[in-house]
Amino acid sequence: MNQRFSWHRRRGRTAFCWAAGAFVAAQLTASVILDYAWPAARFPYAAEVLGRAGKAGPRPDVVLFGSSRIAGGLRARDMGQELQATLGLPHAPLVFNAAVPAGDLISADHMLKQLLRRGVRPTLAVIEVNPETLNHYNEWFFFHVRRQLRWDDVPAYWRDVFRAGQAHRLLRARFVPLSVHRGNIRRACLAWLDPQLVESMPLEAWSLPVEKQTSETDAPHAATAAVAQQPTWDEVLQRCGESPTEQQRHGTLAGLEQPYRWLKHYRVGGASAKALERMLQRCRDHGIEPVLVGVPVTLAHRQAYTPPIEAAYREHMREVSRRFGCVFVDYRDRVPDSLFIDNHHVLAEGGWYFTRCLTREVLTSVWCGQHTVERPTEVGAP
Amino acid sequence: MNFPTTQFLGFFLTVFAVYWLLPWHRARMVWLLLASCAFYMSWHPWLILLILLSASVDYVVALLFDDVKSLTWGRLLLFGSIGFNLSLLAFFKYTNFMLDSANSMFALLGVEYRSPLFDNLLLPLGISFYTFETISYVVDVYMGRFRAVRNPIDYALYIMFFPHLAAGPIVRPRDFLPQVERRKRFDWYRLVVGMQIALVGLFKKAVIADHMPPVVDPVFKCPELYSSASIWLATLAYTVQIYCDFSGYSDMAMGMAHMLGFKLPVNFHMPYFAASITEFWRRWHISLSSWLRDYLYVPLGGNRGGKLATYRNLMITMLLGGLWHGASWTFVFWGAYHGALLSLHRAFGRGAQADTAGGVVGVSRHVVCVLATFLSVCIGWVFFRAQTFGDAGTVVTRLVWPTVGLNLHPGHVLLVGLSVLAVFLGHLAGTFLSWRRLERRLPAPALGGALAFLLLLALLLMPEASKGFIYFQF
Repeated sequence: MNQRFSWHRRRGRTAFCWAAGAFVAAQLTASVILDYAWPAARFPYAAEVLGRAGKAGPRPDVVLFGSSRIAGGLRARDMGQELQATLGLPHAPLVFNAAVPAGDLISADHMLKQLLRRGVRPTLAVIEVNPETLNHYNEWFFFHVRRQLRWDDVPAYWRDVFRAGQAHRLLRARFVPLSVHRGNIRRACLAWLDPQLVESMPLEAWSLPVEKQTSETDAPHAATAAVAQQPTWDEVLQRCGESPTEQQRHGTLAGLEQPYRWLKHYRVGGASAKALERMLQRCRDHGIEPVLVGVPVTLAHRQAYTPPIEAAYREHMREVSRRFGCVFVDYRDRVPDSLFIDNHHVLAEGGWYFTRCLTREVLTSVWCGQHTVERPTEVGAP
Repeated sequence: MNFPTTQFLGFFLTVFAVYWLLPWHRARMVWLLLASCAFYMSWHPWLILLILLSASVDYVVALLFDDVKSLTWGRLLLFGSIGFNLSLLAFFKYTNFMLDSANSMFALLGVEYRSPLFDNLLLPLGISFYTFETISYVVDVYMGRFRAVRNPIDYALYIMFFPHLAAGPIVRPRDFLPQVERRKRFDWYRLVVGMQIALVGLFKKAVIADHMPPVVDPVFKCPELYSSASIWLATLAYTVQIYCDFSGYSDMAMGMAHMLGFKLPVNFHMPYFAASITEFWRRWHISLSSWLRDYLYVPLGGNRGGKLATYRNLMITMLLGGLWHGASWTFVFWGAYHGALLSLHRAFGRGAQADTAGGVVGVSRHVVCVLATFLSVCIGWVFFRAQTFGDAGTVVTRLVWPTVGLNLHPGHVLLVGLSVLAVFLGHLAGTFLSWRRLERRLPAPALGGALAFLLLLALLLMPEASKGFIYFQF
């Protein structure tokens, strides 16, 4: 009886050890494969954008980096046409929107690095830099640990990940990647078998369907549904003078706790500030002219920028612009609240207004190598 | 805290590690009780007071049975305790249902009276399950089948043991309480067996059941829009979903209990291979059907009072069984439907079954019986799932009468097909293979590898958002 019992125990222990070993080995192998051989399964949105950028054909002249504010707020095709019309160019410069949803400077740096690796060398790089994206406490690590941080990034970022309270997500992404990325893996496998099958599968926010893009160079998503509509310029100007609707006020109030959360324990620094410096250095190394832009947000959102935050942000931007000899323009208060869908995403009209303002006031002169102003002062229709 | 979530995994691993690290048996039981309280409080912190109240009353009543010599006082205590438990259940589960029914009745009579509904009345998690457990404890002690427990921690653990707290299996005191007293010894083999059971449950729940709602929900929400083929597929999908959801939960509960050194009763035994409705109820939710048999059907007289009395008892038992599942007339109808099927089987089916033949004829007859039972059960699930009788009627009509309408996406058709196949193969393996014997022949590394593979597969195939268990709402 005792012999039988101890045989069972030994067998049970061996089976358990094999199960645990096989499980850990499979997950670690999968994490290495997903990091280095199949990153598209981790960040399909970026893979789609990079895939389009790497396609044969004309290379982009202007690339836009940032978050959904840029992805939905700047209209790539209109920007190119605007540049052509203002500068009298024979062809419209190709503008490429490489902004990603829930993006920040770390994801922007990732995108720039990947574009350079694919041989994309634009003339201009428009980079979104708002106070929240420079905070040393960076909530976007919630997405980064899942989408882009790899094993070799862990030593550089683990402190910031801990500070952002995302350590458990980092551990999950590292040690159980098959569970974390199961949705994307399944979708990719189904798409490989039969693309029709994927249509019925629910999609995550960071892997929105690429079919919604309006042009090859626009952002392949419509976080604000902005790019899908085509308002006339008169409509845009008319809406500028209107008060925000009840729905807009509701949208603004609904997300108002976000900026306060993003600006928690505010101090410029950490991984975000380093990412900006890396990006600017990369631009300088490859002869790209960077344009740093404080993108439009509503008045309610701007109220979260307290005077110390504002001072720290401005000081840092001045310092960075001086060090890297680049342009910084602050458009945070340039779009009226009536052109927003929520506290920090513009409507289609707002997107056009912002695109035209930025292109005419800044990009044309930077394109010609003449830009010197830190901030446009004239408010109103360009 | 739902079972197939990372949060619960963290909770269980902590409970498991501390439990086996504690050197004293009593300390382990206290730790389990604390963990069970924490588990329950993660759903709603205050409703734990309700379980404690219910359990305290029954604990005291059971102790009082020892001191009470008078039969009248004994009965009074027994009925008082049962009445108290059922009142709590009725108040929390059926108040809105009764008031709603009263409102409808008044409306039918043309009286414009609307009694206020308790919109914010919460349904305490597991109330239907732990109420039945407390009742069985009090009844067993009263009947002298079991001696009242002196230690309140043991009794509280019987009611609140977290693997079975939320949705069963409904545990009997004579099965569970002796296990609480027995000293536990960590055993690797027991751990591996527990993992096997829990993983099978996880696979059923997370991989099969949780993929069915996108097929089932839209069809049962607007059945009038869908074609007969879609309705058939959705009904099949729900048949698979409810089995995998509930038996998956039961397996996970059994597996976890096994890892902690406890044994919970088997709750499902290949129910869709039952050759008659009577056999179905011996294989489906066994802990409930045996509870209803022992504490309701038999006390009502069972089959001792002649044919008509037996049919009446079957109908009452199944009607109340239906009502136990949910506060809605569709559940009552579902119970009545099964009561009627059981009565019909008792009246006509038993003789036919006794006339068993061997060989091909016997096998063919058995297969036909299994298919007929399966079909009857599927039709029953329509009333179980539908929100209203109107929806259920539309579904049944379209099941019977070919109708054109929206068709399901090919991906969904494939999903349902694969799920039905998986359940069928599972039933086949469960019927003809002895997993225990097979598992003992496997070399330990192969067994470990198979466990890891099953876990990896479950993690890879489970949906991105975990869904709650269907039986948590009962």
